[in-house]
Amino acid sequence: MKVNACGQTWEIAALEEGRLGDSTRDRVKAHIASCATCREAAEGLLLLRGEVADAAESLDDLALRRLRTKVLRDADAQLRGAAEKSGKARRSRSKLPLLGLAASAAAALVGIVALLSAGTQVPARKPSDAPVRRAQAEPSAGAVWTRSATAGFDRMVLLDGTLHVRVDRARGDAPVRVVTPDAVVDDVGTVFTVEVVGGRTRGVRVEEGRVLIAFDDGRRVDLASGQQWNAPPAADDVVANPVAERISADTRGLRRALPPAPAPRHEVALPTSADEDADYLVVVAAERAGRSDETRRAAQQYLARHPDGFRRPEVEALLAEER
Amino acid sequence: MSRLGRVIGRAPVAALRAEVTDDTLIERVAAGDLEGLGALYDRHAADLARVAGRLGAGAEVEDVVHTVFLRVVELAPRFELGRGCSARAWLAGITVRVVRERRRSVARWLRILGTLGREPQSYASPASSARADVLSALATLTTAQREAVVLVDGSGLTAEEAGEALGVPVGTIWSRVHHGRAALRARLGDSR
Repeated sequence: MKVNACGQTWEIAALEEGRLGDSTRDRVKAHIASCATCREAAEGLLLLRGEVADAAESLDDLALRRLRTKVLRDADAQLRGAAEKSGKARRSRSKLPLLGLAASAAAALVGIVALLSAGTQVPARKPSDAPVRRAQAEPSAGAVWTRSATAGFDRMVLLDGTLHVRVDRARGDAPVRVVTPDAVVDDVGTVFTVEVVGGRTRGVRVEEGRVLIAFDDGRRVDLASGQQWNAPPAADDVVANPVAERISADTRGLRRALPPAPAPRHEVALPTSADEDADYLVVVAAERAGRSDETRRAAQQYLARHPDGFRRPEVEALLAEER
Repeated sequence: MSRLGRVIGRAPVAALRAEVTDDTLIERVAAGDLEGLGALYDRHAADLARVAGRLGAGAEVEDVVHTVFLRVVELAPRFELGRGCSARAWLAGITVRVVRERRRSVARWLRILGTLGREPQSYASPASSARADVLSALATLTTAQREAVVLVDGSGLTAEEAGEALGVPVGTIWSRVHHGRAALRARLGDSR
């Protein structure tokens, strides 16, 4: 094995790994340029990295495509299995002797009352194993869309045109998810319309109930009955969403005092659930930091403050884990 | 699957996928969206297959990638969206763990075969190309060194990302990579 003749050779790896400060970096670069030993060592490092990178081929296209189908099929089965398991657990819990039949009947009654109070029902976020009962969907003439039952959702992909959806949860319709080129629209027991033009979501209008829109850029919009969201007129004129900014800021410094949100440049109706998001982030941050007591408290606070919260199933699951 | 509207082609779907971040795709997977999983697969499966190959998965690369994406469905709800860990590092970390698990499982079987008097074989299938030297050299590293070298030198992850993927401090990665490279150089120098 070759013995390095230069005492600075070790700095090459440090340089490459970004461990050096600005001034040291410049000095080392200048040294490498003038030192044959270090230049050779730098080239050797590049060569070694190339050899490791080329050490293994990927799968060929055919194998990747075949594997993709298998992955999606098995993932679907996995999701359905998980839903079935959780359904069984729920049914098992409902058979506890102390609760008995009266508790089940009371729970069912509460459920029916909740379903009838439009606009407040918590979405069934978890995939269900039950057969999907379809909502009414009326596409506009020439609309480009598809529909499938995926993991308990009545799922519609709308690429162009308008889709008017009527979901009747009381009748047993499955939760509806409309996927557009730049957003996912989830219903919460609703009659609503989604419009896509030119590969972008142009507007969402809610006639009854409530929908939640999650844009790919991180924005979240919560629309209640009678409300409407319209896209800004031009792509380069998009309004910076104050809610997304607040959420992002809250992630970095939880419960830090937030500056007032800037006024939107366009008069766009953006009813939000920023408080709910903030409370949820407190739960997540505490959980991530491994502070169980704080996680429990934050989760309980979230559940108390947001009985219809969008993240409620997730927070409930997290709380159950922390117990 | 019934199609009530016009049939959509692959091109527009692929075009719109290009705009979506990995974080968003993982969030969609967490919500049970299989299309999100498909898009994530399209982006990363080939690279993860290479990672598995460099780690010595040999003929089991396909099984490893399959397991990785099913694990993604399971773990997606716990992925820390947009905070700290990059999706690429997260996926590489899952791949490393899956390869480790399979290696342990294979080692158990090899021990059993050994007690039956059979000739134990390497976990990795013998490579038939010039890559064989490098794969053999990688196989002689300690597991910790091999994982660090594969992620940093093979996949181009930063030391910080490799640290996130493997759950160790960045200093540990630097140290493992340093010793791993030295061992690789010595090994490759001897074999040439």
